[in-house]
Amino acid sequence: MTQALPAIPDPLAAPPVLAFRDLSFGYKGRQVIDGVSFEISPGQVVAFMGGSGVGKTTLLRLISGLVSPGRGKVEVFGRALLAHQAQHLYEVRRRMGLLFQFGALFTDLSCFENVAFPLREHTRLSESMIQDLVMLKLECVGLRGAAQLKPAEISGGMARRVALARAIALDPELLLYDEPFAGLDPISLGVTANLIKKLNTALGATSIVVTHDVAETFHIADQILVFAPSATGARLVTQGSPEELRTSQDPYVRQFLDGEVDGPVPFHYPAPPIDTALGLKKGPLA
Amino acid sequence: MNWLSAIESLGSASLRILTQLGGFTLLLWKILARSPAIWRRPRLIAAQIHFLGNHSLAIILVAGLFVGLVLGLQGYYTLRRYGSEEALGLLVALSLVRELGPVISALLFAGRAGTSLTAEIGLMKAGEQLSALETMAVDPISRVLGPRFYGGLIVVPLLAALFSAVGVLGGWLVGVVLIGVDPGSFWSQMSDGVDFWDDIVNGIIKSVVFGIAVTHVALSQGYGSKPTPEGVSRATTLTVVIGSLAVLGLDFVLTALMFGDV
Repeated sequence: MTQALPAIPDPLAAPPVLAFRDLSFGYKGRQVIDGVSFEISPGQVVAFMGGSGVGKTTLLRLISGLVSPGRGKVEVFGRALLAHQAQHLYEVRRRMGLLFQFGALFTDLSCFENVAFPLREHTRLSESMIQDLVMLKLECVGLRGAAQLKPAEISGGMARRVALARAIALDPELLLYDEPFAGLDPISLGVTANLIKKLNTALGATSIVVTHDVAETFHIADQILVFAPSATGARLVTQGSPEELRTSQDPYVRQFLDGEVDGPVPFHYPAPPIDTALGLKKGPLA
Repeated sequence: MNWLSAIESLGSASLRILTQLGGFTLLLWKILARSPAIWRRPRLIAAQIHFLGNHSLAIILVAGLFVGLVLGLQGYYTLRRYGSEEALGLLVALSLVRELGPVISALLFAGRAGTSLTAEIGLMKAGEQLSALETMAVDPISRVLGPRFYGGLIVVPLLAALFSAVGVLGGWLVGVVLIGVDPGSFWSQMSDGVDFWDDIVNGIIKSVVFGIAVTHVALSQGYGSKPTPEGVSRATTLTVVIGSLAVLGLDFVLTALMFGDV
């Protein structure tokens, strides 16, 4: 919180909740993230956008310390995240909530018990207090009526909302959403988008939404970061408000927002020429 | 060039096995190091004892009864040749308490409860439930693996004891009720010949060791499994294979240590 940062124009003049400093990361020899730097000021809904497989989920795993960067660092709540110090990591994680793509609810527990889980693990609240809190959280996501159902008995969209109730059980300051819109019908999609915006204001939190759903994101995000693939891993292409992005002339941003088939991101996965592969021409394959 | 690649694959296989063995040991150490935290919540362990024990109870009791019945028949057949049928009770009890009880119940436990442990943890991993725990600042090793480890460690000796008890009953059924061995000598030879420390305690030590081995194999297979359907199914199979072989191997070592000088 106290560390002096290089002069970056910050309208709110509040220290960033989250910052990446020249961060690179790779899985087993394959570079996924390449030299990404950015800062996120508190109170915003921020979207991380980019095509499938560009490494957006990896960014969330880095922020929550599930993996540690190869180079550079992640700063959360003004402090560098030390992925190897369990105690420190757990302290930071207690202040954030992560919503997994498919909810990751505990399948052997009812919806109620799923939401109660973090409360039971981290607080010494009485049973009646837990009862009230869980019901309030479930009310927030509109699923108080489903409290006693098992995750297998509710739809995917509902499971995600229960998981959201679980993620906000401890009133986190930083909320991370992994593809919250993927595979949702239009109604659930609108409901979820609305919830993200509403909860962010209600909790006074900062929300990071990883997504490739352009329309919904432009609706709710205060700021958007676009990541593009490159030979050496994902790079941050641009960071700005939805309005700024609409007028952006960056070819990748244009291709992504307009959904063009070919562009900086080619239609074809890298492969030898088709005539070589079919054996019509002598090449490295033959 | 052929021998070169043979050496290469030998090297990589040994490295892989050593890595797995290292991971296995490291995980055991991590669980043991978290014991104080794990035992601070005895309810979680009790729930696992209930779950694992309850699931294996029926198969253990039935298997114990049949092993006892067969022991009674085969034992009588052999002992009669030497005119010492009265020692049938002793033979049945010693075989069960020293060997068959701990070994067979551990093997059955590996097949019944071990596989369900591996599949449960593997699927929790595949469903990102373990990652979800981590992001909720809950340590999956002390919350999920720990109670299961101690549950298994406690349940296996209990199951072995039940196995032996039911087995003795089976031997009595065949020997005394069906064949007509004198019940007085059946029981008195047994109570004279079975030593508490040498036989019963050693049997308990065995089944505690087997309980640790089987449960930990099941847990580490599940925890280390690839989070895919194939990965979980492979891990489940390996739990039975490695768990059973570990029990048989450890049994030889323990028997040699305990009874080798007799």
